[in-house]
Amino acid sequence: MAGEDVPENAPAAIMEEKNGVEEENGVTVAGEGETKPYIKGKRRNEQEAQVKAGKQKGQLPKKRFYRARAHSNPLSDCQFSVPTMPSEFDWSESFPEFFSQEETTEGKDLKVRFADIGCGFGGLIVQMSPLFPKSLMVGMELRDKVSEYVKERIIALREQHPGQYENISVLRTNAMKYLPNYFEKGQLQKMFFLFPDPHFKEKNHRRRIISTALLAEYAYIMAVGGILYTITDVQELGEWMKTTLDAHPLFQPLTDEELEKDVCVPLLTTATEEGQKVERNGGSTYKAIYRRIAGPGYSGA
Amino acid sequence: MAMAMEDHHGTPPQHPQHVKSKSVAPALITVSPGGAYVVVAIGAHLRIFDFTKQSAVEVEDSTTPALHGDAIRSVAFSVDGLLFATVGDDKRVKLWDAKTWTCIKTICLTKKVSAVTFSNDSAWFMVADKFGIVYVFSTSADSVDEPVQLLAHCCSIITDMICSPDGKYIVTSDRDFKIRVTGFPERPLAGAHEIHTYCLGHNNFVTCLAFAGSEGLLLSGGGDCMIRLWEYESGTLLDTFDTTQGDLGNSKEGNRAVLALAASPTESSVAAILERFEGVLIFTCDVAEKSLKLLKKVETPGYSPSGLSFDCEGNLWLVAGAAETVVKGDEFVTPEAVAAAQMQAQAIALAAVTHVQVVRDCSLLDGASVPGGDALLRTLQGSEADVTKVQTATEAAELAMKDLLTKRQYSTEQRENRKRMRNDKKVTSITSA
Repeated sequence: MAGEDVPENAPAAIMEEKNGVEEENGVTVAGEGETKPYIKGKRRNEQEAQVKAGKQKGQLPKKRFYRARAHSNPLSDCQFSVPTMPSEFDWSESFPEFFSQEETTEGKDLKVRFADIGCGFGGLIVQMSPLFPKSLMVGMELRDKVSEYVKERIIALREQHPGQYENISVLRTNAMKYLPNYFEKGQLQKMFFLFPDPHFKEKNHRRRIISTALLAEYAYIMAVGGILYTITDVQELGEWMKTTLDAHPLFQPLTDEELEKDVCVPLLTTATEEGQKVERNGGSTYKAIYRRIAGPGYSGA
Repeated sequence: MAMAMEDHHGTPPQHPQHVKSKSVAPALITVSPGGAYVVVAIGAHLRIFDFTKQSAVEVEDSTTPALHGDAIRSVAFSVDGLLFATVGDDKRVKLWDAKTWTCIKTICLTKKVSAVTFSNDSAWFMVADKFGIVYVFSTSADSVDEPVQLLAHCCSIITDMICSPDGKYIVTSDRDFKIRVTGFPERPLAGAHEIHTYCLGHNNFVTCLAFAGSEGLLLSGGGDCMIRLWEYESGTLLDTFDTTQGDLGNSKEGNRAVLALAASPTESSVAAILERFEGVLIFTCDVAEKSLKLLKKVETPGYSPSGLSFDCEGNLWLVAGAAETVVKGDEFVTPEAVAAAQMQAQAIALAAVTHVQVVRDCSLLDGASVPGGDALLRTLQGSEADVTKVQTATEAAELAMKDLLTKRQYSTEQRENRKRMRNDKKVTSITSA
């Protein structure tokens, strides 16, 4: 394989180092590129199989076939189609079962209410699906191979467990740019930002998924009372997210009591691969969980 | 290792699919709200004609850095007509006293500035940069001018920005097909956090915005060749006018993007100019019916206008022309280089020729009957207006704009090719070769 002598080359070394750093911080989800031997991926696969113990093996997609780069540039022009406006997007393709039952079940909410931004391999939405069977939730992922994996995973889960996992789906899109193209004002009840890219360099801070400017967009698509969850294992980013959210007039931190009651909070650390990895390594995590509150101005209602 | 490094950094990646066009800035025209001045911005220079004195006015600038060092990209009068602001590729924001034409203050930003507008009470002015950030500044002469972020589009170029007539909203349009209506805050320095709505419907970059009357109607034009009428309170699309229909857009070189819009302050008419289009489209905006109807196509043979503005009497002023820009990236870092670039920009601007025309009651006035007459034309047009020169310059400017705003589309094959140029992948291809 090409893998063995490659690290001799400078760019590869740079890449390795970069990957290493971010791996350590628990950001890299998968896909080290072809330069690494694939033992790691295999180990992960086994782990995945363990997580899914008791379920039929072999039908779930294999991660090693969905290797992707660890990062994708959120600022580049997209090469995928984006709906012009939310009403143009056909959600029935994402949730076929849910939409086909429209007539039979009354009072069914056919709008997506939960969004996991940067869902990675979909750990969170898969775990949340049985907890909120009546709510539609969508994972958003920019890397095409990863989103493809989640898609396959959901299809496999639906086949293995008829009637379950019908309320989750995945979209390949750039959430930094196109959220208002998918969601109407005040549509979302929960938004999740789990282990986002830390973007350490100051120059790249504008790529961080939590920023004052983007919070205005999240506030727009979130219902008043909706909850925004963030978690990271990078202290610097954790502090940044907390400071940014604290300073924003449309978000208010949850009290300890509320955090205690919230069923999603424990999932932040346990549901995703990143969370599990941090836990395994005994690392600490930094959570910032905030409620969208009504503003004093024009769009508070 | 050395070889890999050289390969990696030495030769820049080549993308034959995309050849960058020269950066050219179109000429802009604006008439002060009271109708006392007409201003043409060409390159780094302002050409001002004073109607009361019937003569040209030169600006005075004692701030540092003085004047503009590169093409002016956006200009605006405050609603009361007392203030004037200019921004441009030199990253400078200048606020002028529109009576004495002295510079009140200069603010230097870190990115090229693409749009400027005033709040309705003239207490604030906002500038938008190419990274999609809108900064707000006080118009008072003695305020501290640290850039304060009002709002931001995520890393998209903001193409136009205006404040609603009722003062409640600030509307911004961007390259990513979006028009965003944000509540204008009581304390702008604390930021505008509440997005009221989005006006979504354009299928390409949005270039221009205008308010039609004070009835809550917004107009927008874009790279999809559509002019759209919106109710900006709700974000509802009311009407769409397709400029490719009929005999308007039957161009062989592809569709014509809408370049700019202007709404008449006196009546319900709206004017639009298109790319490579020798004329101007006049519409009536029916407030009751909430529709947009083409009233007339006024032809301007030989010139395709690059900027337009209504004066308070309902005359429509058009300008055609463009000037090349100077500063390119980080090459100009030393003070000497900056000064040299500024000299060059001023020279380009002085030599640049524009052509000014006036449309009254849907018909083009001939040169002699233009308000201000010969003196005005001499002031605003520069030297003898040469038809071909003006036309080529305008076309170059339009090409530059399109190049900047259009999203690159690559076929799967091209994309794979580009991926091969990526740093991490490249190593594998070298070793396997």
